[in-house]
Amino acid sequence: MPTADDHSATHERPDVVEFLEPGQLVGNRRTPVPRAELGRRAQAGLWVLRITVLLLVVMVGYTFFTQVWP
Amino acid sequence: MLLTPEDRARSDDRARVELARRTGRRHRLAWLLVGPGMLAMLGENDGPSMISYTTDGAAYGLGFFLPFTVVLFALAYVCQEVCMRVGVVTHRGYGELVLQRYGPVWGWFGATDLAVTNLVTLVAEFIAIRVGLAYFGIGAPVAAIGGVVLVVAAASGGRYRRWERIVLGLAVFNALFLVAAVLARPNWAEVGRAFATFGPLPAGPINTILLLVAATIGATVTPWMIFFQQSAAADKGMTRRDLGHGRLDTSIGATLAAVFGCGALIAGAALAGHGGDTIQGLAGAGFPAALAGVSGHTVAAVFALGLIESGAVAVLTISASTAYAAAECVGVAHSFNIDPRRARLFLGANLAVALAAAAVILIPHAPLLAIALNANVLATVLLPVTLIFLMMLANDRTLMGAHANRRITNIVAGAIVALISLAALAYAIDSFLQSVHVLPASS
Repeated sequence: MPTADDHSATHERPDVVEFLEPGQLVGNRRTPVPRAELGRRAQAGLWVLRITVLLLVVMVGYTFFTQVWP
Repeated sequence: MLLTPEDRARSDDRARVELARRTGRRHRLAWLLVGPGMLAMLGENDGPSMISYTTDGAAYGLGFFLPFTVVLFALAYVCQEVCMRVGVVTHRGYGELVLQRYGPVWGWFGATDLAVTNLVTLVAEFIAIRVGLAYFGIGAPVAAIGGVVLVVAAASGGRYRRWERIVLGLAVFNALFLVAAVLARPNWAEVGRAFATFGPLPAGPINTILLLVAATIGATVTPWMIFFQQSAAADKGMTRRDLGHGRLDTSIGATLAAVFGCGALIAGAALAGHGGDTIQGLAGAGFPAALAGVSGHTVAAVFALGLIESGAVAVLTISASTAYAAAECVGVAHSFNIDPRRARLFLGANLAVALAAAAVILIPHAPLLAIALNANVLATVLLPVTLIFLMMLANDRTLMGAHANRRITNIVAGAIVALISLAALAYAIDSFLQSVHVLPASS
């Protein structure tokens, strides 16, 4: 949240707020969205994705480096 | 609630939109709201992509790849519409949402992989600019310095609107490829036949063709497009009321990109039968010189100018996507609507990645061709992950409310995401198996 010491901040102005949704205000955007609560299937799926990505990083990294520097 | 200059800048832009809406000025409203979609799509018509289309035309002539290009952009529209909608509804960028919703591991993995992939892709963009300038006898240092100066100049105004309009102004010159196609005087009856019949099919070994198709599908959407369009839609200040215009923006971008991509293919087809299939693309600035020999210097010059434009626009959009991802993950200001002195990391990342890529093309004996030709394979790591998380975000009713994916959207978009992801994986696995000599190298 901007503080009073933030020299770039100004006090609330109706004309500014009128044209922006609450979620667009910088102060509100600094509040992170809550972490998703994932079910067991989704968590299992993300673990499969992690393993797939790990394999891909190794494969693609190897491919890239051997083809750029044979 | 204390308001910032960023809020004021964004509100000024929104005031213009609301005024146009209230006064019924539909064309002005559309003009104000187009941007992120067009830039994502026309940015995807980058240097390597346009050379890839030209290569398809030179190698296979007017046939299957013409309507195939249009189909690809239809697929891209579906993916980009989803990411536009997520950005407009949540007002947050892709990297930021993934990090906050699914944890720092996925957030940082995405941002880091994107930065590496973007760096390599940017090298290919600077190469494309260099190839275009070389036709006019202008050397590599001009390409490097010019690209970096462009990044600085576009971002220096402290307003997203200014940055966007500069890049859009450049992006319209992607039409040069259509001009080159017209000037090459193709057989338009053959063009029409290709669109009507999806033929003739490309000749050659079936596994080579399948790999080419898989690689092309896998490159339909690149991770930077997702990161960029979602963040840009949020930075632009679009709201739920603008969703219709967001779709219009994305569809216009897809249409134009498809038309201009086909233009590059048609121009390249002029080389079919004239040794076009032997031109090594980025190596030796092959295409502009070859076109000069077959279709004349005007076509070649227009094509070379198009290469410069395609590389330049991609430098701007891809650098921006890197900046958005980096700043969102660190949790600092990430907007072009901020005084440059207050967005140091954001603008610093924007400039640093372009500087690094520009420096690479000036290194003597750097394997530039190999880097450019293999840039796409790096994107195959991040692409399935990006698309899966995009679908998860779009289905997240806590975030999206009534604007979450409908069932039909999930069926269509899900199928497209699966197709693109599998094609990218196939390309990655095939490339790996070739590199370890389990499969023979494809020509």
